[in-house]
Amino acid sequence: MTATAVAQSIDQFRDRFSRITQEVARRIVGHEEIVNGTVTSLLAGGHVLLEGIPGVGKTSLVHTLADALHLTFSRIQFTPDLMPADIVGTNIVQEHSHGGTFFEFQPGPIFANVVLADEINRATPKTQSALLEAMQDVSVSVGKTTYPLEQPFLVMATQNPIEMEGTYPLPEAQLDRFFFKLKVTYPSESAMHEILDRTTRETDRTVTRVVDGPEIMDMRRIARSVPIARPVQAYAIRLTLGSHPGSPYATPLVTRYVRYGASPRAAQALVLAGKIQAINHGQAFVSIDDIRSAALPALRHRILLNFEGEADEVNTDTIVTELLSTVATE
Amino acid sequence: MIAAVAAAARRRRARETSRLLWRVAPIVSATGLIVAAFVRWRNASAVIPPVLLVLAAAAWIAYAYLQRYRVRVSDATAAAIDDDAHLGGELRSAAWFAARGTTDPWAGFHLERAADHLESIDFARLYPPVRARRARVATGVMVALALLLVATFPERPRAVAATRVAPSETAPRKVPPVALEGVPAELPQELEDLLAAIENGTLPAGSAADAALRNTLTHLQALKDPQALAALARAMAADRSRADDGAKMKELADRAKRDASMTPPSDIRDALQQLSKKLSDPEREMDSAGFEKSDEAQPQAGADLAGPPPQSSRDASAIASLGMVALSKQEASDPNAPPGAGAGGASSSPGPGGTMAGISKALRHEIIEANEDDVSGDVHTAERRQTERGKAAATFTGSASGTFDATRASAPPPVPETRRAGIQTYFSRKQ
Repeated sequence: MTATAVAQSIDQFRDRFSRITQEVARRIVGHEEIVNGTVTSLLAGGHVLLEGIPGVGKTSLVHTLADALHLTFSRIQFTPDLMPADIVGTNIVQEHSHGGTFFEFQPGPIFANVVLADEINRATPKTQSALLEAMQDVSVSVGKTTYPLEQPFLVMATQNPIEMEGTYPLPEAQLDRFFFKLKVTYPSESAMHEILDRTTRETDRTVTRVVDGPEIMDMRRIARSVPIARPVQAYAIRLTLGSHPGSPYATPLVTRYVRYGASPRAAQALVLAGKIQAINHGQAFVSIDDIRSAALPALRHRILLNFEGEADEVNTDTIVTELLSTVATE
Repeated sequence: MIAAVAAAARRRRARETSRLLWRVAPIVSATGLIVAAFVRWRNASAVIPPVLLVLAAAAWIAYAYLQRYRVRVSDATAAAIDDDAHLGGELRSAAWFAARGTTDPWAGFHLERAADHLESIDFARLYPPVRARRARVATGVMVALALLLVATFPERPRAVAATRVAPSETAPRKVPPVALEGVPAELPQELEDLLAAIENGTLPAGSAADAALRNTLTHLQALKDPQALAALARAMAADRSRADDGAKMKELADRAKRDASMTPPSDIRDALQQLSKKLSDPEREMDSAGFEKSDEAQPQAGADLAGPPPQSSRDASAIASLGMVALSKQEASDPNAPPGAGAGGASSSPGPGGTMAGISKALRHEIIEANEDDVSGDVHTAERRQTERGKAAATFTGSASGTFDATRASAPPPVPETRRAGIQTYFSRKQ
């Protein structure tokens, strides 16, 4: 691969990335960071947990992204009576034309490129855990048979942080499998004007498909090619280790309020997100700033608070912010 | 790539070093100036300030040289240059890859672009030479002042050194012995030797433990008699021909006080301070020691210094008080008769016994004795003591009986020999 080819790859990546975000922006007002984070997760091969109050556009964002990506899309509305088989599928008895019966696997809604798990915390832990294998191994096992899922595979789950009654908080193991946790905030005043203009008038809100599956897979490959210097990688590791109470890099808040810090998946997420961020800026290297920009969405859901932290209602974002300001870059 | 980063690092280091050195230079030159002023004030060697300045300059140059030719480019250095040039981490990353050598096309592309960016940076503008005009001016002025102080050094040190070694001034004077009862004859000479040693700074550190010196101090502290003090002052006076004993005593008191201030806290210092006090105020000392100052007790130049002992002085005062009573009777019977012709008087001699001054002294002494022998106070104290003793006895009988543990008892602290006489005087006076 020559330098010219590398330069072309970078330009191609940036072009596709901007096309996706621009197409999503045709329907979703504001939330550029959320869109960037979602596309970054898709290109890193991870999954996204979107958290926000009702009506801020979480589901619309996922819909729009699926439309823009020319990928298959399925939506699963999580409810307390949802069963694992409702997600992964089940074997049903079929009859041969010449007589006799056989089991045939009926794929569930998980068999899609983009899966929207809406209000994921409303289902029971048993059903939530049905997503575990799919999210980690990109395959599902029914009976004795394992069925691979088609790549690219992206689970986008949403959850409502205020309605906690009748909900089942996600297990730590499942939380760790989400590449990013993005907080969808309330739109600004100017964004509200734009939303009202778009939704209360007759406008063309159709989204064209700008990137397909193979192109996304190509983007994933390009993103992983970006080199990272050891000092920068060391910073990502220090950030991850700093979230552990016993670590030498631990901050006072971590020592006081954290029970368990981020897993090695967090360091992977930091580096991969840093690479995508770097190449999206036209760089062929990962900088400290690229790592820092990914710290909040990659670490906030991987830090488990202790009893004191829960009692004091400590926000993990505060802990990550303190880590960013404390952990040395050299 | 590495060479470019190293060149940038060298330029940056030179600037940082220059900045640091020009920040330190005024401080060093100010120190040199202070040292020069101090040396001049203390009359020390004039070579010290120039040597100090030369050493500082040598260290300054050596540090600058070492900093300039340090070749290693660390990750921190690369990061600092990256930060200064606002390269967004590219230089730091490229420096790391360049130092390790890589065949990865992406890393190669990264290095090429980093090198291009590095070439476009004007490091001379990024790291301009440090001007530090104020620091340069301040340093120059202070160094010049320090050298000026050194150049205009006075000849005083040599003169002072010459005076220091003059044997005629440092040798203790010969002091005549004192012939006085209860005072060693050689006490003035011993005191003169002690004072001369203090003034010359030749008094050994552990001299307070010396037996002879301790003996001298004991004798000095035991001196209470104004006659003895006056005799000592006369013997030690620089000008013995003068007749004024008060001036001689004051001279010795001042000398003792000054020499006490020159010695560290010790028995010697205490003894000299006491001597100074006694010489300054012999009246008070006389009263506290139970002496009566009479005409007989007045020191006379060249006369025998043996005065009446304390007891005889006390008797004399008692007689003086009788004289006062007789005088009052006489005045009542014959107001025209000359004063002092009563049956009593201070003495049988036709001196000032019975004069107003003698009567006043006798009256004062009588009042003091009466105050000390206050019967009512004694009765009250006796009653109080009896009551306390009774309470203590009741308390004791109410408590459980115990055995005396001799091992838990400890002896009182030893009394320093030099203070024994003073302590004895203190307690005997209280009684």
